[in-house]
Amino acid sequence: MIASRLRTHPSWAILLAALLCAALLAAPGQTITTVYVNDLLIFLDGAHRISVGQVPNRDFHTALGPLAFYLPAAGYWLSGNLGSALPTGMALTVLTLAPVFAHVLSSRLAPLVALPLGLFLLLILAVPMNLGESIGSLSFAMFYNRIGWAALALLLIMYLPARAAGPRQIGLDTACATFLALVTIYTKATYGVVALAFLSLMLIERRQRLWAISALAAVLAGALLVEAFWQSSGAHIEDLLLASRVSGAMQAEELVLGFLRHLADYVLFAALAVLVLWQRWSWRHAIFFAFCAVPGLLIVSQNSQPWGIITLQAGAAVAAQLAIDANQRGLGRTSISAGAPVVFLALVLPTTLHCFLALGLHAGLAVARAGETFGLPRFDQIRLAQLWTPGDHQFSTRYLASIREGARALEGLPEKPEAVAVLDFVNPFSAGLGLKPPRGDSAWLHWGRNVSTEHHLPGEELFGNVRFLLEPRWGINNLPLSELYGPHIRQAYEPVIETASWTVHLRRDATRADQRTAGNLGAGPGLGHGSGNTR
Amino acid sequence: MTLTLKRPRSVATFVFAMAGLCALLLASPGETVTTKYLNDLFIFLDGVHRIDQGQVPNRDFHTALGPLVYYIPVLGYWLSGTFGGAMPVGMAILVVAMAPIAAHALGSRLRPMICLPLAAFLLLVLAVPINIGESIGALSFGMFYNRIGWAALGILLVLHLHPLRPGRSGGVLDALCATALILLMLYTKISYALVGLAFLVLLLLDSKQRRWAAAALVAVPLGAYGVELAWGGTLGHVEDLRLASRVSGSLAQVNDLVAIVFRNLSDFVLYTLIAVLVLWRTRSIRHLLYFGFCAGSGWALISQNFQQTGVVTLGVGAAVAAEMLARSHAAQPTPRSSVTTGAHLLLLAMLLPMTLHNAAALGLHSTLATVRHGDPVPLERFEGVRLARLWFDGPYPYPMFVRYMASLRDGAAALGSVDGGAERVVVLDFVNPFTAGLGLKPPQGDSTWHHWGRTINEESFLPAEELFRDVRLVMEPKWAVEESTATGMRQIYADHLSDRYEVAVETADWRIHVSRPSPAETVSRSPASDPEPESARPASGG
Repeated sequence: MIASRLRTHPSWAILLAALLCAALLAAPGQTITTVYVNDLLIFLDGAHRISVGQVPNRDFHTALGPLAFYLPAAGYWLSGNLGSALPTGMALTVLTLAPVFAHVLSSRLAPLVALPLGLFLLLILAVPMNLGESIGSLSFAMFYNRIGWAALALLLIMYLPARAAGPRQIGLDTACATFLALVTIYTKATYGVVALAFLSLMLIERRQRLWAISALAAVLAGALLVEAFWQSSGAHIEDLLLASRVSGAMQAEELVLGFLRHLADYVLFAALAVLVLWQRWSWRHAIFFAFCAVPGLLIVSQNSQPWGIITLQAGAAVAAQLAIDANQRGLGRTSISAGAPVVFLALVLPTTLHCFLALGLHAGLAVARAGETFGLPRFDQIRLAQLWTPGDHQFSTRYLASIREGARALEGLPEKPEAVAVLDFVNPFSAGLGLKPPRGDSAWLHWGRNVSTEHHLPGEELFGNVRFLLEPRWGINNLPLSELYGPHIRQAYEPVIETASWTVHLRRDATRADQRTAGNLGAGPGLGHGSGNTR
Repeated sequence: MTLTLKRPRSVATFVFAMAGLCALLLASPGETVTTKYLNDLFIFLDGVHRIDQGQVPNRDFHTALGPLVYYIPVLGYWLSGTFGGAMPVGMAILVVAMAPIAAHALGSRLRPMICLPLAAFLLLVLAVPINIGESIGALSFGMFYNRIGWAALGILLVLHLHPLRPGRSGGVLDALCATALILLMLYTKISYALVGLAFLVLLLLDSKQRRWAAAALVAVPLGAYGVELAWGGTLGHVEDLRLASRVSGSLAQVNDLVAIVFRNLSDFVLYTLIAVLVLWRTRSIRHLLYFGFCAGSGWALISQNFQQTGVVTLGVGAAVAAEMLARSHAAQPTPRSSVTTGAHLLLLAMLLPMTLHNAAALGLHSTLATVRHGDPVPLERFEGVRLARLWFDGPYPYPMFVRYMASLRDGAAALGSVDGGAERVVVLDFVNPFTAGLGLKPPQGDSTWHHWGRTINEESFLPAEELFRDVRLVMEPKWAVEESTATGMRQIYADHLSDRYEVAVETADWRIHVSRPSPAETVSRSPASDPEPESARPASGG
């Protein structure tokens, strides 16, 4: 009885699955990571910054959208500990997007396609793993890519007209499309651009034009509204431009390699698309399929992601649905189109299972409290685990050890430090020790990605508000950074502590008149009535 | 997909045409282009040269690889006359030779819609010059014996199905095909042959196929006996296999076995899906055993290979499953259901990506070989062997092989300056490219391939008296292509080397040791010593 209900009403099954995913993520209240420790620290630092009242792009530089910081911050705010910040933040994302999933999928797709696609996208969204990596590579790193893919894929499904147009359909479609577009824009701009291009593309379709045009208008209104509160859209674009000058160049090599890595997906996608176009040629369909195939490749070439052009799966779902429709109308003269859902299933089932296993593994390890904690007081619910794949475990262990050493050095200072910055990939100390973060610095510094010799922020600006600057002797990309900012550091700072792995520099004017200047630090517009350093 | 080939003859035509095309793409440029595993290629070329000089594998030199690993490229060498043609022409011959077997085995069991994609899939596995599962740009004949094993085993596993049209001569042909395939695997890589034999034993459970399976099980030992009469190296081969298995034959760790499933998850999931459909419909224990066998044997084989993805037996098992579903439907009067169509498409979803991937790689090799892309190996007889760098495939490992080629150039020049000419050379590294590359007289009793942790380690190695029995020059690299092998060999054989040899030439990359008891002709250092008197010496036994 229940099973048949779920089969005919995929909405309920999708909502149920979303609830399960969210529970698997959030319930254990721990973050387990086996790779990319440094990436995780960006978002913990971000959650901490937001919690003390900072605002992305106003108080710190970032090329990632503000949602990449507000989501972990929401998780932190809800759960009260940094170990839950990312799992709870992602659970929240899953639950918020679940009604949109339910509406878009059930209004456009037959249950046979809607259910597998829904589960696939939900798990892509929920799994704490960079797409295309092994089940043992647990990490919340680059979670924004997964949000972007899931939102963009859902939006692409709206290419299909609603199966039964009710009176509220236009309104719901507009709301869903607007929401999805805004999510992509404020999570990672590359996805946002593609989403807006897709909405513009929908204007050529007569039956869908109405919701597409209202969604575009609503996105504009939404962006204006966001700007009214955020007031940093301009600064965000500046940061995006800086990052794109460093690493935005599109390389033909990357595109060819990306295509070859996804050959299997392209083959299956093309099989379905060709089937649909062969049954009945349509320019609109052809343009749509090209839209699934090409921009997805452009996006993935900008991601640090071995596999996963999720627009292909979305396009394949649309193609499978079109084949089913053609078959029912008697257009599909061959019985091949009857098998289209099976090909679609072949495309999504393995990844669905893969992600489900990884999500389950994370939940299991989190419940079992596997691995060692990071070792800073406020990171006590975040663990580095070692699984069967050694990967970069040795590197991570060493990295954590150096962080602990840096934390001890900071605790050895006569005063409680504040406005601490690290001359490396990311700053683990503000969040890990609960220090007041500096303002005007960057959420992370990734050599060749958002900083390079040719394009970088001047030291005066980046460290203008930094009191303690920690320079590692060993790290992720400390060497080029030391070279780049060395002259500024020698001029503006003096070393106060040396340990085996760190040099702690103190700002010169601060040593001379430290009490006087300390009062000026951080009293900016963004800091007013934040929750402060309470947690 | 819409081809409706009804008669088996047209299926056979397709298989022959496909094989011919693959063979043509491989052989016609007559050159070898490689972007990876250049050192692996030298193993086979060294063997080719030795056989050309009259040596016999496992009698005159040690090798844990089956004799066909050398005899197939030898055929290519003899036909093309160049070392550049040895591998591609040799493989082309094998592809053509396999075509009738594939045409019979697949054509007699599978309907065209399943037969044709599977035939293309298996022929391309055999023909493509990459290590299965690697990128299109990873051109290399390294580990080609694994591809031979996969293709032969794949064809054999189709024989689980009963013939579409039972006939009198079918059984005889089946037995012949099975025997040929198992002998091919036995003398290429033995682990595949063991799986093949186990499969024949499994077939004894089937009353309709029992007779030919039993015949093949009898024919294989007879064939092996015949081979031994001609070859005489069986015992030596078994001895070398035991040496290699002491070094690297340990069973894979549980976590490695799990990782294989995760790496090939997509194939395993689709395979399970289609196998479950069949079992749900047929409820046959025999089929359950068969599907378990395909998955389990493929899993075990890949764990022993140097290979990440591409469990070929899963594709074959899925094709057999799709055929079973189609047959079970044909038996009922109802029209074809979406399950059957779905199974066909699922099969295509499994086979098509790798088929296209391999076709692209084969086409790429053919194109690059035709336009003579890349730099030739700097040894005079290897000029048809080229190292290429592909602009889209990232830098690695190109710089390493460029360095390797520079060291070969240096080594060749150094050998030219050795008094008394260069002959019977051993290299304390992964492989010896000089003997074949410069056309030197090979030593006897040494090995074509040293690989630390794979064929040799600190406990298991050839005794120095055996390895250096007939060796005049020992080349010790300062820059080794396989550093751990070079270090390990240097340590193992250090005493022997200092006792019996002395350093004659030292260059930037090499130290050449000459055997001490050699006649006192070390007066002058004439760089262009005449090799004629040396090679005119009588060969020392065989």
